[in-house]
Amino acid sequence: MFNKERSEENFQELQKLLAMKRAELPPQSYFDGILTEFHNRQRAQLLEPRYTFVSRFFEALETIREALQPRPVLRYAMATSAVMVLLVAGLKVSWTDEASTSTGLALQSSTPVVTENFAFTQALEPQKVSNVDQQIDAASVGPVSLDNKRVLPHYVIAQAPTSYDTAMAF
Amino acid sequence: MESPPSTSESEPQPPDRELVSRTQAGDPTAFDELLVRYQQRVYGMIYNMVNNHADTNDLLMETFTKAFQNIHSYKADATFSTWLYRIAVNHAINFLKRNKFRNNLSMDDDDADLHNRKEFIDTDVTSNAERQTNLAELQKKLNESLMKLSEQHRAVVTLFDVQGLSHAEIGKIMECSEGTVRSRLFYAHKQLQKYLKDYV
Repeated sequence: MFNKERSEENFQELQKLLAMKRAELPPQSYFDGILTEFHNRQRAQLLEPRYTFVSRFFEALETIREALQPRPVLRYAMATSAVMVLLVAGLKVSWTDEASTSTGLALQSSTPVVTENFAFTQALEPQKVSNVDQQIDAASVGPVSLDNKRVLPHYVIAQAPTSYDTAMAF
Repeated sequence: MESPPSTSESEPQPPDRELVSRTQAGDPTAFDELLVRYQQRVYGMIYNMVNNHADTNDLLMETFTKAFQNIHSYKADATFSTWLYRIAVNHAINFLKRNKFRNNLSMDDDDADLHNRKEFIDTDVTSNAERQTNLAELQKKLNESLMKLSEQHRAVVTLFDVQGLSHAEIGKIMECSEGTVRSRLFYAHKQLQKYLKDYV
């Protein structure tokens, strides 16, 4: 009870103190000029340029362009960097072209191997061939050169396996 | 609040409602009268929120500009003063939120001196030099304590204790219930009492 009364009493003191803040005002001369300042601000607002969406967009673009504009000292460095990037990109493109050309050649060279295998299969089964009415000579199915000379197929009979183990042993 | 204090007994002041109607009808001089009528109260309200004269001046101008621009949206369900105070309070709170870091201790030396100057202190309240010195110290401490409160609590204290508005009016201005106003006020008083325990 005592505390509550004490608290209320203190609040009253506090409120008296706060009420004194009503007197914290600038001199009357300040308030005399407010109306004039208000009118001046209104007129200034009328004179402000009206911004549209498009004008704001271009203004933003201009700001970005200005922000990205390099200092004179950095211009040479940036130009050199740009040339380097272009050179690397050009070299990479040329390497890619070379690689694709060599792959095409490899695919072309693999075709005769299939032919040879086919001929080799035919040669291993002469009996079957002899049973056929036309009696085709097994060797005649081999590759024929343009000048009608028989060319024997070239076989890769044996190829030494390549070892990837190290030569060193412990 | 509806009937403003008249500056001269002989000249009857037109009520706010009439001035608002005239402004809405296209008479800007009617708004000038409203501005002159409320400038001191709105200044006091904003100043006690932001505690800086320059910012108060800007916010005061913005408050009246916004009120003028939106005068057609004013509805007669609230008094003009309530509507105007609402604009001022919202402006001040938004400003404080925007400048939270800058205004942590916005009671700068210039403004402290400004309010210690003779013309800023009511001579009726301060009768002698000793009392004036103590009062100045107390006012400074009080200002610092007020700035420690949150924006909402500071607004309630300013409107109730400094501006002398009722709980109901504050509720309308701050768009909250009367109970909320009372609760905020009690909390703010407790906080201020704690900060000023050596003085009150």
